[in-house]
Amino acid sequence: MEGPEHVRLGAVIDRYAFHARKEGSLGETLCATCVDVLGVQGAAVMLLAPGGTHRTLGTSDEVMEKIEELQHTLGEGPCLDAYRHHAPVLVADLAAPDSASTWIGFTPAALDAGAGALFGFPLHVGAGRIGALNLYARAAGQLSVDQHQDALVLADLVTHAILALQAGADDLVGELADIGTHQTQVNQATGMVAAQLGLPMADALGRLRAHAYATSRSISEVAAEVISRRLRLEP
Amino acid sequence: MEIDTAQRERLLLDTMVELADTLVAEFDVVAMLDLLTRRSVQLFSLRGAGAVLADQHGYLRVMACSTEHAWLTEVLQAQNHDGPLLDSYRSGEPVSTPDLEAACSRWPTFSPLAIDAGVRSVCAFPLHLRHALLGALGLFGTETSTLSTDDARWAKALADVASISVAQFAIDQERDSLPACISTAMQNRTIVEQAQGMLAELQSVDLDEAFTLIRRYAQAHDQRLTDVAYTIVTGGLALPQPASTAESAAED
Repeated sequence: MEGPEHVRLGAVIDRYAFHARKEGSLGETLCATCVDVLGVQGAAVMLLAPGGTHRTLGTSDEVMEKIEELQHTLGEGPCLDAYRHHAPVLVADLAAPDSASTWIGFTPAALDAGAGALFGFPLHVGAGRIGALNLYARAAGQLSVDQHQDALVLADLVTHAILALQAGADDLVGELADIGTHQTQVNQATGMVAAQLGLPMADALGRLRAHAYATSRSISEVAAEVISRRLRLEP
Repeated sequence: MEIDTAQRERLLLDTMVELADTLVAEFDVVAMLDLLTRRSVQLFSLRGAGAVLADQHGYLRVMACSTEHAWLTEVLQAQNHDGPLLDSYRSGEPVSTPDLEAACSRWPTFSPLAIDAGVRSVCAFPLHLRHALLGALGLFGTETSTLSTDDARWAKALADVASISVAQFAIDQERDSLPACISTAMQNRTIVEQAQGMLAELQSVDLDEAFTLIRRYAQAHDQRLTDVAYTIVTGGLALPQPASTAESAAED
């Protein structure tokens, strides 16, 4: 997509492409991209399902590993809250009294582990929720407006990278560049597929993507066919 | 669809008040922009109206359509290539073209799509606050003409009030910044679109009727549009069959 406004997404994708050239899992690549773009100390990608199962797709360092483990065992923390409430949870100062009272078990242990500030961003496409992106900084302090914007871009990028890979994408960078276009039709088609196949939204979007890859077309073309009822996906 | 002068003045005032009413518990950016586009069509006798906001990536995201038919979505999505809403968003100035046929070279992606859809004239107004460019409102007419000077002033005023409401709402949300507020509004619009698709399939109606069902249910039950949509997509609400709504002709 041309146009000077798309610079922010383009820049993030460039950094992703850079890190993707190195050895590493998808989770490691995504975390390295987040740390690089935002200048925070660490990142983690947590995958969650409505039933409560969760697993960590990747962490950037040992502190982050510890923080993920704490949220996993204690069942509380900013990352989990971001997922549950569909909204970013920004803890500029983990040592402040209100974070200690919000996450009684988690907060002191996370401080001990070396985190000063924690930021959780939901990974979702509308009602389709897949997990959360967790970021930490050693020192307390708010994200700048710029960092906040970049974190929202990154959360979107991580979401789409995971969904695209699950659906069998081979050109992930090309896929990511397309995430801003034709959203309305893709979302409407996702809703239709969810109803047709009785699937949750994230899975329905996955099916739509998988069909696009299998037939070598773009997701927006497939979405347009679903909307006009020329295409119905089979279970 | 024609309304007389007295009705029109009343509707203009009501619209202003409703757009500015960010303090009500059920205020919802998605519903506010939905109101803006639907009222614009009534007030200015248009083929359609749509609102776009710039997302965190810099794409112009469709946030509201006076009708949810595919032509309008496509015309609005085309703004990511070229078009009057993109120009208005970038410049912060209104952009008006009385005859779209004459503007084909100016907007090579947008113009043919719009002309195919029966649009002949277009006016776009920026949604912005001082230096913060948020998006644009597009008014699409069937005649080769432009809005009267008075109508253009009214349309600009409606767009300005809508912009202020978005910003005011962001402030009311306290710790949330404007980008975070817009990001949430976009997620909400996504949920509404997913719910639309789901209802269209479950009730064998088109996407426009599906949106109307969601809107009517929200109004009748005094709930936020996006809350109703969320309940639908998570399987917690099956709306009644559309037969009853077809009879209620009163379009607000």
